[in-house]
Amino acid sequence: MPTGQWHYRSQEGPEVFNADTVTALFNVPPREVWQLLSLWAEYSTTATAGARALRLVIRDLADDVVLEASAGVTVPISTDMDFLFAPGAPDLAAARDSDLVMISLPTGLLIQPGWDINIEVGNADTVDDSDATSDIDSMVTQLVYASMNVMSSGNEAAQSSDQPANTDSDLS
Amino acid sequence: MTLKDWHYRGQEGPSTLDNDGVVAHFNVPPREAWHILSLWVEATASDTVATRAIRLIVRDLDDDTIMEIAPGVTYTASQQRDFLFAPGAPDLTAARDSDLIMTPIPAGMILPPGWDITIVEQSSGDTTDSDILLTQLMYASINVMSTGVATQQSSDQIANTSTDLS
Repeated sequence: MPTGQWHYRSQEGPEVFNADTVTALFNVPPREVWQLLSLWAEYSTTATAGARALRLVIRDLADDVVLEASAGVTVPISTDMDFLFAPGAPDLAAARDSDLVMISLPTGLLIQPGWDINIEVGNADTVDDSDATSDIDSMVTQLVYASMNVMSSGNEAAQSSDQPANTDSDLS
Repeated sequence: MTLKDWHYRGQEGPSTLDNDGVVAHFNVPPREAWHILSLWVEATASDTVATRAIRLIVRDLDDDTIMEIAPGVTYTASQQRDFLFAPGAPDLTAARDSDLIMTPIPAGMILPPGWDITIVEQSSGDTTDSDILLTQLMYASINVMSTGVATQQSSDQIANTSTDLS
């Protein structure tokens, strides 16, 4: 496949939380760059106490946080709520029609090989106590993005600000 | 027709609601991708008492919801309201000049083959009587090689494969 062309794609994320209460973990594979177009999350909370706070987090190859975007509304217990993270979306501080929250993202959100996008939830109920009222929170996610093939494998050391960007070995 | 040219088009949607309160059902055909530029809605409510809330919904080939966008204003019986969904539009929470509501949508709203975009009357609309929604979709269309029937990728699957020709 030639480099230099954008291909428009989508992915559905995993519904279960890992030990860090992270779900919707999307990884940019080697030799691809992604432009994030939208991330849709359908979140359902259990009756376990705690206001859930959703946050979109982007990390680089070294797992350093590069960007976080926080929703303006938390999810109370026993509630279904939908979240749209997208460039150009409004930044709502109250759910619209009681269940839809939109959050704006930067327009030029280009994500490099090996970086990842996830949604982290503060106060999530991730413990399956197997009773009728408290199972675990669930989240369905849909990522829409444009993908471009690049020559970089994404495993070079990150450049620092006092290092010239153009070098002989910089082929990406 | 070449694959790499964008073609600028418009479509008028059906004006009647179906049983699910859905109108303006636009389908992206096979081997096309659409970039949504604007969606214009002229809503006329019947005299049936109810608050109407409309919502723009994008669904993929599996009918999974990919995104929903809600305007900041509802309308009631016997009212006429116009809605503009477009990238860069302001997000109004009160009708301007008493009848116009503008709502921003993502700038890069690209719909692959087989996806659809609809306007749904979310709550208490009058689908049995005579609510009317006239819709006009503006979009750019590009021809693509994909038919849109490929299996969706999951997040733990490498995106680049030899069968990925889209």
